[in-house]
Amino acid sequence: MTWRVVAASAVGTSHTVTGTGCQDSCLAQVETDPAKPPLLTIFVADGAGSALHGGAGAELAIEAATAFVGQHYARSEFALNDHWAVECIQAVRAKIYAAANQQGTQARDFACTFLGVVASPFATLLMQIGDGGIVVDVGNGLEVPITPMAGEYANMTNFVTDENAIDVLAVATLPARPEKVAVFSDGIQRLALNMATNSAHAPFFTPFFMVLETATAAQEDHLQAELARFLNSPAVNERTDDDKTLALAHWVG
Amino acid sequence: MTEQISFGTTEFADNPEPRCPCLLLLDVSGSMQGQPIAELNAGLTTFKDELAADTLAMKRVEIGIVTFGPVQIALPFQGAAAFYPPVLTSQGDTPMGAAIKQGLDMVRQRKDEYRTNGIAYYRPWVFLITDGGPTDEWQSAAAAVREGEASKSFAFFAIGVQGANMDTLQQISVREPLRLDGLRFRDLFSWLSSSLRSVSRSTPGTEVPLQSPQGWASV
Repeated sequence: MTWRVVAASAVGTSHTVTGTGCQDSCLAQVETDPAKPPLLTIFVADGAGSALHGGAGAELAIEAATAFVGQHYARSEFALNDHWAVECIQAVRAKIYAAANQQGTQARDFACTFLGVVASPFATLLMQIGDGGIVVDVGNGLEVPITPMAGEYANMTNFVTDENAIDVLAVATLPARPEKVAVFSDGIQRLALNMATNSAHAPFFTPFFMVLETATAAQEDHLQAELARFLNSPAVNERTDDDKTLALAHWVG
Repeated sequence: MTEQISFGTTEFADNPEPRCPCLLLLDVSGSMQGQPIAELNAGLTTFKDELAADTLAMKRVEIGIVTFGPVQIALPFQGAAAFYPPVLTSQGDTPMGAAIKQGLDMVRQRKDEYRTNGIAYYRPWVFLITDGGPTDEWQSAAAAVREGEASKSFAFFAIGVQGANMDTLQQISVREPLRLDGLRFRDLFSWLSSSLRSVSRSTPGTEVPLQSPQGWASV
């Protein structure tokens, strides 16, 4: 009784040209304590191109959020709600601010977006600061519970390091187990969402969920490499020159 | 032996490219007659050629042109791919104030069109190029520029060709006006196309610093 997960990030062609590495970071895992129901965790962070240490910020954000989940999972019970999401973001911010302080620089230098899904067999929590998107299916087909965030202009967004991060944090809770989850950075957003209607572009997702659902144990080891190969494929690079991250989960009973 | 798996899909959502609008306010008053107008026309051709060399810019950059005087929409906003610069001829006086207001209206309308159609866009650029001073009421246009800059509705740049009234330009543009060296319109437009190219591929969170206008301007 668990989810099958896969996640990968790939450097954008424009970053290859300028020599900046991949500033996206991601994680998808399932906490499994035999005494407890499993807990699905997916985090994606996209370091700001304008920030000196955006990539490092994204890594720190994922680390802090993962540690936060680990602590809570070790406890007996906790509720996946708004309050939990705010605490998670505060943990992320504390980690980044401490790192900035230690290096004698500004948290702004570590600016990154942050998207997360944490789910039990009974509830799904989504949180998002900045662009990128989260698509879930809790039994009613693919939906985009959080309207993708954008400033007025295409090159504006919110960051977890911003002063008002908690204010702009968008949270959605669904009282059901997610059958399918996809979390992606803005490099993939324009391929995966119909931006005018803020809806999931189903044909994009179908092959991914099909593979996740039907993969054999032997194939499972190849999922990550296969996803990375897809993200680096010419078909994707033709449509985006930005870093791209895609993290997926499918309930496999 | 494991059966090959593949995530291969090319079923991508077909979203419109984000747009990067650029409005040119061009002075075609009588004083531009002769070489200045010829160089300006050559500059526009350079602009078109350099944008055409960049496939992403071709899809994203949009150009509109307002000429004065008299105030005329020489080119409504259109994509760089469909941009064929009009051949400009010099004519009347310098109704700069009315031209600015007309231009800012076009920018506002274009943004409304983007929003209605769910198209993402970058902050519009407005470029005023003149060799004189306004012959009409320009104070209200200057106020509109200040207001637009303050609310980040657009970025306004003023460029003075020799003979331009730089003092008035300074009062119109929040940013320091630039003075064109001689008639180096081609270098100016080459710089503009390369700046637009960097904006049109900038990603969220990236403030695009303008490259130094070296080679064609002196402040």
